[in-house]
Amino acid sequence: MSGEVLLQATVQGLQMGAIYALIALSMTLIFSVGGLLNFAHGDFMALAMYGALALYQSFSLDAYAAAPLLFFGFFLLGFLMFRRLVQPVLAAGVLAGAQLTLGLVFVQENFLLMVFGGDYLSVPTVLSNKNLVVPPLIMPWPLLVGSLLAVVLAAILYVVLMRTDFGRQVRAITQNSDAAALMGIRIDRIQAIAFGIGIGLLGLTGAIIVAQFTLTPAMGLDFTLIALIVMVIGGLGSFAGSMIAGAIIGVSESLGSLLYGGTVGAMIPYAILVLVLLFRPHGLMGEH
Amino acid sequence: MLEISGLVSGYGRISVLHGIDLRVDKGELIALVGVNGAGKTTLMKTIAGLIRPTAGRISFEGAEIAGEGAERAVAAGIALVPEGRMVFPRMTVWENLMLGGVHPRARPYREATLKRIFDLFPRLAERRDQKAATMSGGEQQMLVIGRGLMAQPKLLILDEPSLGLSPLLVQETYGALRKLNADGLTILLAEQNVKLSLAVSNRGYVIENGKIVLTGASSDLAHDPATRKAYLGRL
Amino acid sequence: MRETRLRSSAVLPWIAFLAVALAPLMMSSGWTNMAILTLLFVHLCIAWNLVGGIAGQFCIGHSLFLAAGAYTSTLLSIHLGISPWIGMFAGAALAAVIGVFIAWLSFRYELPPLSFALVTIALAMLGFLAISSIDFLGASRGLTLPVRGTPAMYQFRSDTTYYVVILIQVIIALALSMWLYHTKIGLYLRAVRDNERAAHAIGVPVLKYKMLAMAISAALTAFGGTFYAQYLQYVEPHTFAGINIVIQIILLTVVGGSGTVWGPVVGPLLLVPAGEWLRHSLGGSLPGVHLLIFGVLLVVVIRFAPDGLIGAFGRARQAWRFRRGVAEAATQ
Repeated sequence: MSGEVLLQATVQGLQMGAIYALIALSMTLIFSVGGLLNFAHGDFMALAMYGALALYQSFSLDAYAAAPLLFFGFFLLGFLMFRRLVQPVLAAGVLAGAQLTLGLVFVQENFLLMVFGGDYLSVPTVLSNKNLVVPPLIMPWPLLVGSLLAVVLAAILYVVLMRTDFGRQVRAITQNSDAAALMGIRIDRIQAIAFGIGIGLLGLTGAIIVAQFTLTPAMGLDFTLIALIVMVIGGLGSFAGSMIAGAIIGVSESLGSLLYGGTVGAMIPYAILVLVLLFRPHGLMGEH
Repeated sequence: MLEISGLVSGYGRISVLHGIDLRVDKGELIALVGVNGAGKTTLMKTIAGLIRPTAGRISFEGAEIAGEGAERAVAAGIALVPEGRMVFPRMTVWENLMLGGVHPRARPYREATLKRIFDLFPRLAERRDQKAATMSGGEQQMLVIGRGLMAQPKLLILDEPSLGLSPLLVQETYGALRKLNADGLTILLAEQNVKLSLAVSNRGYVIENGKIVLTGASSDLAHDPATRKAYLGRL
Repeated sequence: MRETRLRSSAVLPWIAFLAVALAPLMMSSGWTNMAILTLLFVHLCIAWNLVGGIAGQFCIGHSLFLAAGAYTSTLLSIHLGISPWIGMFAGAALAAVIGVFIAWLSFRYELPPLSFALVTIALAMLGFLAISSIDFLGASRGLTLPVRGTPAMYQFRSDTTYYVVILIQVIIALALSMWLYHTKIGLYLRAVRDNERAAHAIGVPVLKYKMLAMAISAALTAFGGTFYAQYLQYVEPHTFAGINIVIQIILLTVVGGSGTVWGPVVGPLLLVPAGEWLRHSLGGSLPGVHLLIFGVLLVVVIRFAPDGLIGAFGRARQAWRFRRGVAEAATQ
């Protein structure tokens, strides 16, 4: 096998890794809100991708132009969902919350199946089927743009969490919610906003990567699992950790399927997850 | 300033406080003394809005705040420095202090207050960018007091600020409290350390089994054999 | 008085359950299929509940056990001509070994609850991907059981016989679960669920009981897997090793009330027929609509009764008793 092919696969893996990292960071944000493990994470993104499809079909709106729209729409969805659904269930415990999101997987997948049918679909965009050729590399524009945007968005999210009052309040609630209440922080509201941003980011992410994927109603679960893996390996809430973990997973998946076939490529992330959970339970860069 | 009457409060169905009456006037430094389990922490938490009382009134500057929640108490100008130094462990000293002043009422004055706090506790200025979890107990105690002050309180409530500190640090902490009070801050101090808290305060209350059993000027209480009895009787 | 009431509260659910369970025997064959599916889920939910509910270990890896039961018995039947009646025990043994290994892993590495869930998901996915790619296991095409047509080879002419088989399995599983719940073992498991460290501190042999619960749960799930494979006469990875079926098992248990004896019975007993009915009446019009309604139903129950229907029923009964008590006190 030539070095060029390996290079090509590595670059593609890194690009996928950036996208994985962003999805994992929004999952971490949601996890930091009362410890909710969101099994419907990828399904929200699938919903956004189909949303981009619907906007294209009805208004010929390009997915990249629809991205801000989907962000706000999903922010609202997340905000309301937290208030009406997630928060009351989380009050009964973290496991009840996780079980609720399992139920949401069911709802969203079948909603998509009902509205759009089970066939494979794709969303044409301005960048679809165009490649950037930098010999010896051939990079699909949708993946390149998607990964660059993912890095930028992840950086923005990180700055918001680490450098703003809002971010400090989110972290304060995670670290000691009683003390946060004593600061006069409105815990309910901050949590609802944080949850809304997490879901909103999924709306945005779905739109900017939709050109790279073929849509099927059940595609969400794979994204959820990858996000879980990257989140855990990166260490909860670590920006650098998530980026590195995303890169590791993206590259190993890409090289694994190139060298040993698709099944082995798909197995590698799970194997890494088991090993990390057993031997580095706080992730590669995580804090205790 | 703070007027509490007939306050009944506790956890779930279990009442810890059985009808508390207590008053704090502007500019006073009041000590609330009692043994472990007498109900001091429950009273402090109820005033700060963390626990909803089952009966009674808490009025602060004429407004009723009982059971209105912690956000309401902070908005009214009450800051509680909790027992056990509840710092935000994975945040820096500066971030902890910023959070203390995150409420809209305090936010505009944050920079100025921060300077005052760094003057009061120079140690915190030195440790500005250190994670709170890595600091000593005394430094963490300074941090939570500073964080409480960041909220621009009219009334500062402290729950056991001397607990677990070395005698030297206790002196330092109490020195700071006396100074804050001299500058006009009203303080309510809950303490097991009777001698020390009665020495710095104007007036005192003795709490036993969820009831106020004795009250008066601190100098009188300190020499009243009844204080000693209420206090030592359970030791 | 008190004693008879105690006894009736233990016996009444059994009578109700048997009345419901025996009804399909008198119905037409179209119903039998649905009844079999329902009881299969009751069986799987009871098995999962031992670990996921009573012991509080949120395990998503039960697809491994289901696959162990389905594939082991099928392979033994295809290649060695061994009857699945014997093969099912081999499958259960294999599942129990895997289960004990997972329990040991979680104990050895002190996995917190959510990490345990993640490890079991990862193992389930690894299992699914492996089965889907190994030719000997039929890869993604699956394996078809040879037609032998004799009861000795676990093949029956009538669906009613399959129904009787799964009914007996459910009764055994339910009795086992009840016995576990009310003996020292159940007490220990619930202690582990509520506070593992405290349980350990007061001398509960945590590892031993976690392993025991996992072994029993895994073996029961494997029996379910064998049954399902024999009933369908084929095995394939999506049905038998995918995590979708585990998600269904978990949701049905949660809706009934996880951690209780009757929760995993009530959940599927109500919802599987409801889902099938929705499929029959709506499935043709729009694909997925019945599952959507089904999913919304699940979410609504979790939202308003996070402790499940059994918990909600208990609370309602308590409130009623309280009100009656107040009324009685008022009249006296």
